[in-house]
Amino acid sequence: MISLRDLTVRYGATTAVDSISVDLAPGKIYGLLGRNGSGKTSLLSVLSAYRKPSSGSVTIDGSDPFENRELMRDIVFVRDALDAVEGDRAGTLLDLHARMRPSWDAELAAKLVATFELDLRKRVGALSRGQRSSLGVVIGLASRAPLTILDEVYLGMDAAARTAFYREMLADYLEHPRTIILSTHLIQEVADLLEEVVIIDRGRLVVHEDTDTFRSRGVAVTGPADVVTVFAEGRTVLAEQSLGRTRQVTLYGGLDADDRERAESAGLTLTPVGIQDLFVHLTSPEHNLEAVR
Amino acid sequence: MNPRRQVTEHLLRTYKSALIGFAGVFVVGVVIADIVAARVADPAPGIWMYVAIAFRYWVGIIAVIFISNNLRQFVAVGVTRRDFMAGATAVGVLASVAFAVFVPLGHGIEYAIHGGSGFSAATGFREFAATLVSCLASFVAGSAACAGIYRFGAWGGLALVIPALLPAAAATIFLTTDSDGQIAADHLSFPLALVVCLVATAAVAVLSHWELKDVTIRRSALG
Repeated sequence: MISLRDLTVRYGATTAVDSISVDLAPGKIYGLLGRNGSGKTSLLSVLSAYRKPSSGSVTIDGSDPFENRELMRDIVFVRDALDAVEGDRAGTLLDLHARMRPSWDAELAAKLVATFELDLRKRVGALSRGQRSSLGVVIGLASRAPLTILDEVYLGMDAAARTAFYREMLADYLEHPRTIILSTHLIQEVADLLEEVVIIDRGRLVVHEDTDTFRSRGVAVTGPADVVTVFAEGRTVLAEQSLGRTRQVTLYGGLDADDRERAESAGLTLTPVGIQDLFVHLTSPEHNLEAVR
Repeated sequence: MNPRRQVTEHLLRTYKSALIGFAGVFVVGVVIADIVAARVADPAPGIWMYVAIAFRYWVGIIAVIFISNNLRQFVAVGVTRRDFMAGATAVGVLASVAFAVFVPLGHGIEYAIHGGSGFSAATGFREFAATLVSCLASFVAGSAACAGIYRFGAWGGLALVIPALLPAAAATIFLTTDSDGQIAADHLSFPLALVVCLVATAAVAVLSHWELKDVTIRRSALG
């Protein structure tokens, strides 16, 4: 179990992570979602022992991972800027991981290298943005670390490579379940892979729940403006738009069977809202975070 | 395998060929210079000790490379900062010992070939001790200077560069040798000079350790 308690990360006067408390059960794929500068990478850096928190704590199975030899071996953190010596060949980097990672799967690494058509003789500094990302994916997946953290590893990867990444990650996860935290902006692409979503905004935790529950919380209600207004009263409205006498509101909080029946009998149309749309509404600058907590 | 040993082995494997290559070019250069010197001067001046002093600075550069290049790489493969420091320090010590042996050895060979002046077992031992302490001072200075910049950024780290370089400065002032392997300056007795340099090295090693023990792993060498 990963437990964060009042976790705070500050850079001078800027608070990147603001008193986040959350528990993440092992053996799931988590989506860590947040806008640019929301504190995702700072949070993941603490989790992976890359930095100490300013205050609060992180424990993994009850132990602090920071400078913890046993735990750090079991965490792989691949960030957008690959942590490698630019002059090293890609193959040398993989060899180093193979030697240092106790659960490294050389066969999987070789398969992924072939899938992404990586030239292992090339120096890391000479790889294109997409190739570097692919190399990061190879490291992240072949390490088979019990805690695998992938922070925007798709940068520069084309659609085919990203599809291959998602496919390989899911296949390997099903065969070797572990905790995977995927930080991404491509929410729509990964939505079906995620078992739980964690959304942070301006350093604060907005949502942490299983993906299906989260998905069910969003509903778009469309119909005559006055009827929609009455229906939306007392509910959390994430967004609204009007066209003539028709109005659409995006509600957050889910509707029970009675609500749905009442809406339908009033001539309102209910449509589900995708995770990405929910995310956009929840993290829009004008949105009051307290309202959705 | 112990991660410290893995760090040491990887660093040795990675930089061994470059170091041997540099040393090889160095030796060839000195041999050529010696041949030229023997033709134009009688008695021929010793070249080796003039240029072998560079070895101590190489060790400092090695420390800088370790911090700027390899620290984040090793943390990324699950090695703790503590283990990395221990493994990298082992390489620094090994390189220092190797150079400390290499310097009097080169001097002795040069002396044997063209009868340069002033080489004896005592001289050789003094050169060994001076080079070893100077190399260690340089390694620690390079590590502390680079770690300060890595931790606090270019401007913040700049303030720490001066204290970080103290051991290297002390070694340069008190332990620089001339072409005969004699200590060039006579500010302090040789044993006292060694002690002063070792104390400065130990103090800056503490600074380096403080800078690195919980440093944030940044994306680049300049933080």
